[in-house]
Amino acid sequence: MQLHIALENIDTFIEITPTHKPIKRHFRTPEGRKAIHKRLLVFDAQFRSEILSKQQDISAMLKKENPDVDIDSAGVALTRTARIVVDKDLKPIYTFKEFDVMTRPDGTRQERPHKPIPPNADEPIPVKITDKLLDPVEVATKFVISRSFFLSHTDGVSYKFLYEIAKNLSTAGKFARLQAFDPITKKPAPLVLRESAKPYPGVFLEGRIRGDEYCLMLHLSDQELKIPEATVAPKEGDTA
Amino acid sequence: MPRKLRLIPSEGVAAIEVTLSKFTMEDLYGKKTLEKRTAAGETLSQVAVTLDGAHFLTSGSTSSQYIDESGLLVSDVVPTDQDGKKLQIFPDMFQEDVRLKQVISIEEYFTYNITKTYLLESEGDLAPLVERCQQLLAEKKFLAFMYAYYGTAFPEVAVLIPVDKHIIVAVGTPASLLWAKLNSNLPELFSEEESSEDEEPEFGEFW
Repeated sequence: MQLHIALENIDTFIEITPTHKPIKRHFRTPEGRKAIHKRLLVFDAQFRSEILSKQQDISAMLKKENPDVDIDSAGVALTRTARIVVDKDLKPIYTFKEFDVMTRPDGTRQERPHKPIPPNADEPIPVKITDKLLDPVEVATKFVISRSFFLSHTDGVSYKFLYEIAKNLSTAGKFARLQAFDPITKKPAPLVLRESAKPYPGVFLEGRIRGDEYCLMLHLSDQELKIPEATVAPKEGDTA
Repeated sequence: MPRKLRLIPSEGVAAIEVTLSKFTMEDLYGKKTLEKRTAAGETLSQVAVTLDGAHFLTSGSTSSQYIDESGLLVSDVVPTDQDGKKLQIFPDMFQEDVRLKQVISIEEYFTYNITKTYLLESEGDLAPLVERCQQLLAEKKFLAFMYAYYGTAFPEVAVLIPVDKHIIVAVGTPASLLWAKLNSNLPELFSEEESSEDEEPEFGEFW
C-alpha cells in the first residue's frame, strides 16, 4: 500500500506495511490428521423458525416428518457467499436509500444520508507531517493504538527523506502528529486507507535509527484512552 | 457475574481480586450503522446468499466445523505449528493467581496493536497498584501479564496503563521491528563501469 507523505514542502510516495499480519492457525486431530475449518449449511432461510412457526399444524408436521431440515442441503460445505439487500420477507430489494445512523452512548440518535468516506492516503494531497511533536508517554496514555504500519522507501531519495525523519524523531525522543486531508474539500480529515474503511483521527509517526537503518512506524488510533462517562457495564466473554 | 481475576502486584503482597470491564469506542462515541430503507421507509437488512443463489443464509443458518482431509467432521482438534507439532496451550488467566512480574518498556508497548480495552475494577484497594503503575510510567515502563480469557495457544499481553486514578488494561500482541536500509548496489555498479566512464557515447551510434 502506498502513502503520499509530506514534510514541509517536500512530498514523496512511500510504501507502508502492516506491523501485524493475520496469524495462520493450523489444527490437527488428536491422531495427527490435518483438520481445516469449514462453514457448513445448517438450514436455508426458508426453514427458519419464524417461517415454520407461521405454518398450520406445525406440531403435527413435526411428529410426521422433519419440516425444519432439508436433507439434500444440510451439511453442505459453503465456499464464498455474497451479501444482498432484502426486505422482511427476504425478498431481494434493488432500490433503496442509505443513511448513516449514529446512536450516541446517551441513546440519542442522529442520522444523515449516507456519505461514503473517500480514502486519502494515496491522493494528490499528501498526508502532512505536522510540526506538532508529542511525548511517547502522552501518546501511550491518551490514545489506543489499534493499527500500525512500517514505512519504507521506494528509492534512494525517499530513503534519505525517511532516514532524516526517523533520525530527527529519534533524537528528539518525540512522536510527530500527522494530518490527512479530505481529497475533495482539502480540509483536515481523519486518515482513511481504503474506500469507506475505518477513519483514524489520531495518526502518529515514531522514528528509530540503528546505524544506517531506520524504523519508522505509523501508529493509528480511532479511540482515546479514557473511561466512558456512563458506567461501564461488565461484559462477560471475549467478543473480539 | 464477570469472572474474577486475582492479581498479585508484587512478591509478598496479598492478591487483589479484580474484574475486567470491557469498553470499546462505541461506549465512548456511539455506534455507527448504515441503514438501508425503501422509499416507503421500510428498513431493509442484508443476508448472505450462496453464489449459486440457491440458499439465503440468515442468523444461525450456518455452522463452523472442522473437517479432516477426507471430509469427515472432526469434533476435537489441537492447535499445531505448520509442521504439525503441537503448540502449548496456556490455561485461562482466571485459574491461577496472576503475578505481575512482567515489565515492558514504552518502546515495546508501541510495537503492540491494541485489540481490547478494559477498566480494571476491584472492591479492594487498587491505590497501591495505581501508584506502582504511575511510578513505572515515570520511568517509561508498564506492568504487563499474559492475557488468556480462555485456554488458548495464542495468548495476548495485557498492559496496565494508569489513567488518572484508574487503571486501563490494553490488550494486544507485539510485532517484530522492521528495519529499512538502503539496499542499493550502485557503488559496485559504478565501480565496474569506472574505467569507461569518461567515454561518452557517440551521437548516432545507438540505433
